[in-house]
Amino acid sequence: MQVFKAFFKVLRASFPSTVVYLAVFIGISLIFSGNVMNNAVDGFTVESVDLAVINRDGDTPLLRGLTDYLSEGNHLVDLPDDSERLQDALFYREVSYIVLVEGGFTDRFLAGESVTLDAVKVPDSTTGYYCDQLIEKYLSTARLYREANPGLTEEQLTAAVAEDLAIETSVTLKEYDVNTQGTPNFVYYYQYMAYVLIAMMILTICTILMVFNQPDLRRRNLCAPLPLRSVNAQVTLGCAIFTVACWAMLIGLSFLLYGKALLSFAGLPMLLANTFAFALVSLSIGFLVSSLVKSFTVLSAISNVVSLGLCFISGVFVPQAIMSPGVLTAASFLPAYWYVKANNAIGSLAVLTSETTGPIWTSILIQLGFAAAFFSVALFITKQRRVGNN
Amino acid sequence: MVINVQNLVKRYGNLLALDHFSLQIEEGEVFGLLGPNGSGKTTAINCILSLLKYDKGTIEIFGKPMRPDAYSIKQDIGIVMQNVAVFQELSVQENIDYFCGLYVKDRQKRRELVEEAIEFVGLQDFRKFHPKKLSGGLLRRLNIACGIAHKPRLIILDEPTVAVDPQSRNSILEGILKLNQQGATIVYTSHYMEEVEQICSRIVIMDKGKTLATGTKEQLKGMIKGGETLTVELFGLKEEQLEAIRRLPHVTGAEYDGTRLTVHCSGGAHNLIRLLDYLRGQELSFGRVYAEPPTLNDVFLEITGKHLRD
Amino acid sequence: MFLHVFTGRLKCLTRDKLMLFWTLLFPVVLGTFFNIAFGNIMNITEEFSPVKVAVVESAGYQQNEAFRQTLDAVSQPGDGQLLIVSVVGGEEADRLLKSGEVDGILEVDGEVRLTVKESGMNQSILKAFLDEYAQKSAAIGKLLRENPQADLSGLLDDMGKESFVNEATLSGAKPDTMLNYFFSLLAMTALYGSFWGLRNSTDIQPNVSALGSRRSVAPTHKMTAVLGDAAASLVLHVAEMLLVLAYLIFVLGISFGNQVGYVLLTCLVGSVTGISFGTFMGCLFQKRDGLKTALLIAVTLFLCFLSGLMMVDIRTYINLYAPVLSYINPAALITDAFYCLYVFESHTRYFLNIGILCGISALFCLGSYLLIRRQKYASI
Repeated sequence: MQVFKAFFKVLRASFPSTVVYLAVFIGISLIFSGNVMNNAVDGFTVESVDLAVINRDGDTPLLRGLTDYLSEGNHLVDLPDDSERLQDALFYREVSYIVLVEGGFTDRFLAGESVTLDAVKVPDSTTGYYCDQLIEKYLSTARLYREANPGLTEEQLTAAVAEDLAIETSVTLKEYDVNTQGTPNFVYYYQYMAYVLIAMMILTICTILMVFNQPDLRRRNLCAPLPLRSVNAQVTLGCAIFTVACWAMLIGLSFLLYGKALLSFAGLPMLLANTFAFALVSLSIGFLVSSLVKSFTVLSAISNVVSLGLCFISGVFVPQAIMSPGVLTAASFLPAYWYVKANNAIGSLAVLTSETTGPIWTSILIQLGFAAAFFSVALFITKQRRVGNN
Repeated sequence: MVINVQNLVKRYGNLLALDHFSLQIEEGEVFGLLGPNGSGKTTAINCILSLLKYDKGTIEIFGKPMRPDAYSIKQDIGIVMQNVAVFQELSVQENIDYFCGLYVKDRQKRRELVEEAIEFVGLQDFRKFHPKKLSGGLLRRLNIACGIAHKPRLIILDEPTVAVDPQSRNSILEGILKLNQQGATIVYTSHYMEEVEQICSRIVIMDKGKTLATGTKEQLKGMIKGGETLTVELFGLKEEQLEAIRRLPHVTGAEYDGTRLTVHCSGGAHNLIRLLDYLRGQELSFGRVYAEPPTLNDVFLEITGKHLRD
Repeated sequence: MFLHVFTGRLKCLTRDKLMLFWTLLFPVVLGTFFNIAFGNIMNITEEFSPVKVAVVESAGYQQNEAFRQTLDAVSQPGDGQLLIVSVVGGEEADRLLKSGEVDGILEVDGEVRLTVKESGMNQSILKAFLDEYAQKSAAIGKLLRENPQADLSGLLDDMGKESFVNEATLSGAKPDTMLNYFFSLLAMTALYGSFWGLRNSTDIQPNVSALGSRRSVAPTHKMTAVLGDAAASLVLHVAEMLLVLAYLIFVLGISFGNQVGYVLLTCLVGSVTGISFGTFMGCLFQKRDGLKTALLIAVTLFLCFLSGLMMVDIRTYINLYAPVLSYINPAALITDAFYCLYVFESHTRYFLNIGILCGISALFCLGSYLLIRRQKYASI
């Protein structure tokens, strides 16, 4: 088992870069899962919009009423009346909607003039439309009272409007087989895991295989009284053990981070199967890359482009749901797409039935198909090369 | 005097790398700096070139004190480093031109010098090659060409033939002698005795930062005890006869392996005659007899000790 | 002599394929990935399109003429269209909701009830619409009770039409958050100039490389050599940045605003910062091994991460909780400089960014100078 031992000695040498990937991954998953932490909801809630009201008119009852109304269900952000600060806040979505009330608005409104508020919003956005709707509702109701009953004072008018606007439509939230409790945090962890697995595996597996494939070292191995098959078998065994170890380590980490939630999750076996299938895909890509690349410097470039590219196009970093159909069609020719697809499906599972799990197993099988294809191509290339050398 | 080093002391922490090292090199010499690995050769060279700080001592080149900004001195020095120092991205010709250009501004003149250097090291067929594509010997030759293209008055070569095949080595050594004939003073460091013996007119042997011996090769050979080695082919030498031989004057050691007697002598004259007289007296018949003069290798091992280095 | 060092250096650097990959091709590739992944985000998450809703066919719905008219009014195709209504049977409505073809189901019997399967923006809009209808109906009822003669015709017709809100903009630019990724990408490209700087400082120091030794024993003034190298790497790197910029603008169609001159200035200053940063790191860490490169990549990527290269929200958090970081992080400063040019009309904040960047570069240069000023070394 000399070759096998050497495999792990070489592996130890490339350990630092592996650790860097792990650290970056843990950091990113923690940040992301922290972000979605408070997303779980019970029953129907109205979407909350971050908005700001810049009042240049003064503290009139009408505007106070409007502001109060807008702050119900939404998040009112306090911003100074400074153009650059407002642009900043809008660009980085600190707020999605800014209402600008010019001086004299209240007086002119009550006098029956046709006046408007300025609203700065993300152009053509849904949130913008929603906020428009709220303001229209408030002011048109106020106008209704003003015109129908001109004798009302400003306070009375505001009170009447507030009373009316308190009426709400009843909303039923209907649950189907899908999970409405929001996606569990660990699903995001498993989504980003695709990147770490593939980046780590390509880099490490290729580094080791390239060491063994150096012409001189290879010659020396071939001269040793050891069948080539045995050498290859030992290297393959090393790769397999490394793959399982990487996979187990990342899974172990997920238990460390999300222990209870994960253990009580019904889709756990599928989650594990999916990641394992993708670990095999990563290994096969590692094989393929190592059969094509000859120098270590080129390797770092290739491994970065392949891992980032695969993950960006397949929806590891950006949810598949919001990617364009064209890109997704192209991505379906890549294994990472099926990994993410399966992962998403597992995340939104509420009950396990053959109807819901069927597509997930299909996705996993497709990944295994990719792995087999990559292995075959890698073997073919290596074989061609050996023949060519003779 | 081309190089005048007096009492140079250089410490690396507790390690004394140069211990009151002194060196005088005259115009036109091929000077060999000989010493085992780690003896301080490269440190001495780096100090002379003002690359390294040193703790004590003075260094003069061409009669002027050497300093990092003594550009007029640097102008006339050519250095061939121990490590190959060339740009991987530039071709053979471009590399030589670049380094030559640091010394020679005139384009026309530089073109001629580069051409001469290429011919000098025999890289005519490899002008457009990049260092990555060159074999070890060719790379060393490029390394040399980069150091000497500007026709310096003083050329310092720090182990330029490490890992070079014998053909390349010979052509390098011949080249160095040619440079010397053209008027350059050469300082050559190595731990290959034969090379130094082949080309150097004067030699310093150093170890542990100290000068152990200086002189021409003849002078050095004369310094050691093992004046010559005598070998006699014969049968049936008895133990007590061997003991008797060891007691002969000037004999420092004798071995016998059943067919061949080897006797080491130190200095003195007529050692061979005295030995053969003794053998005849013992009525031993002998076959071939030969005497070998000492090599620089013997001198080197004698002076620096025979234990393994590093 | 300067020219000789400069051209020699330029030859070397333009042939360093690996570094060319990292400083030129990698940003281009990453930008392409960004574009593929983010290209559609604006359309789906934010852009408004009419909400699809199913109405369950029932006697109650047929009898409530006011509601039917209102629904008709807001589902007229055109600019102000709010809803796309389909009137179907109960089971069909359920199927549509389940499959996600509609966002909600309306049932009418006296009052209007909404059924949805999840919380979201479209669902909120539906609810707000129904609320408005209920509220207006209530208000009209109340007013008619108080004053039966009042003319309230046409009040419900206003629903869903904008009249009080006038869309205003703070400046001409569309506040597209995704742009920050591309600004940050360009900041990364600028800071990758540090690879060139690192190489420069490696090739000039005799205690770090054999090349450094050889060049140190040549009669070239050290300052000439340093400046020649620096100028060559700057020219090359600025050219690379312009190529990346051109790719982003002309191939990917990313907008950097209209102030071309200032955008170019930002590239130049960013490049200077990157190169001086790498030079400084190369001078600071004297070891020969690859650790320096790894460290450089780690630091650069971390700075870019803080400027929002991986997650744009990071910038908002930093601006809110640790604004100082934005003023000392070169990646954030470069990103913000591009952002200012894109969004603002005044240049106060832009020049603040550029000023700080120049200051940081000057510090790196000074530091490098102090570190390599000595010309003899304790050990080689």
